[in-house]
Amino acid sequence: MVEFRLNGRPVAYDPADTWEMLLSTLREAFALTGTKGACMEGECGSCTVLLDDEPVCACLTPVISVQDRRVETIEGLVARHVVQDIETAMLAEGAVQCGYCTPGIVVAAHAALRERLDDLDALHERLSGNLCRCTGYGSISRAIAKLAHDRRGDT
Amino acid sequence: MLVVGEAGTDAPTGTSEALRQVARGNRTIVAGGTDLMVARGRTAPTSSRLIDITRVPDWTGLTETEDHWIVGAARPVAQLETTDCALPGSLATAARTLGSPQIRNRATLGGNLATASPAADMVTVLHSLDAEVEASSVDGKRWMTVSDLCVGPKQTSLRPDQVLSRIRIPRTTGSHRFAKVGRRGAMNISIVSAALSVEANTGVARIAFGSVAPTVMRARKSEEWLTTRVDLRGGPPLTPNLLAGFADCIRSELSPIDDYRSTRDYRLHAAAVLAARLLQAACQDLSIGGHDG
Repeated sequence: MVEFRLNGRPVAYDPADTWEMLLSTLREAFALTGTKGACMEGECGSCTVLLDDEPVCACLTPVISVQDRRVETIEGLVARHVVQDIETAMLAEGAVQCGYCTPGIVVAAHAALRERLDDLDALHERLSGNLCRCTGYGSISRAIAKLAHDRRGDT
Repeated sequence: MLVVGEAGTDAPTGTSEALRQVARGNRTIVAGGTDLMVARGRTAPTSSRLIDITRVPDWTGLTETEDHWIVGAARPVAQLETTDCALPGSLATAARTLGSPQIRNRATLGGNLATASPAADMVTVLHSLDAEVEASSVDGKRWMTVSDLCVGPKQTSLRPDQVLSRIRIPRTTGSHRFAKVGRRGAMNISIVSAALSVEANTGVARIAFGSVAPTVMRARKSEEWLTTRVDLRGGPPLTPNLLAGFADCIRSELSPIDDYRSTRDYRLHAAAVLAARLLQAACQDLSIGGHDG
């Protein structure tokens, strides 16, 4: 039995196998299909979720390891209205094409934007765990860099 | 809510409970899982029961004693990226260049050791710092050197009932540098990595390399060469001849292989270049130029 907080709510889940990955639990047991699986080896970042507020790959995280921790998925961030400006910025720059990598990138960008990203290199480093096969990264980089600038202007 | 079993039993929080579970056998220990979960179902059989050790406070903490920094083996690499705790800078440099942010939030210092990859960046640094690792079991604990732990490619000397629990690094002041060569800036496995550690008081130098041998290795002959020819306690500046001599010494001591990631020749060349750069940087750090490293 694993007890954890999922998108702010306490949940309990009994994995049939201790080797079950958080990614399967989210998608199959909790029907949170915004978190995508692709490479299944931590290379592509499509499965990025927040674990105690830090971005991790759900495809490499056993569900037994989230005991007493907080898991937040793209659905949770959307429900809290904290990633709307990221989505808008990405749409404006054409940073979405097939869309498969997008939820992972939004989660990673949300985590990255909490830090002060003074230059493009720092931003790229924070997004280096996410692959996109459609857009070629230029549009993603422009969208998030512009947003980083705009958010700084707001405060 | 239907409750089946006791919550968190596969991720115990107590040292003795964790060790008891491991001693029962048929357990596979997982910390960050960034290596093990990739091997899941391929080279890592999943018939055993997984046990997570990252909730044991002793095995995730960071403490200082008079003689050592003690790092929990299950401490995520991301928590070593900043040098607030005065840990040697080479550890932070290697931590910042490992994997991606997502990987560093999960990957642990102990995991880098326990998987015993010949390309493990953190192990290269730990070797250069003369670090020791603690193996714990229900029978007790014992400290061993990095070479005693990593005995072959992906092979350690740990028994199945032992947990790699803590790492201790002798406290040191001086210059501690790390550099690596890979194919891209992120998520890359080193073609060659190197870590140099020079003690400010004694001028003693230690240099370790990754990806040039079946295990991460110390280049002890080159260390000796350096110690006898260069005064690293603030002596005269390096000459181009000494730098070239050191690079030659590294090339003659290492014997890397050709594999799918690179060639023997390129690795030898890159190792010598990295070593010379690290030595130059160390001399600057140690004010064989001016300021503290």
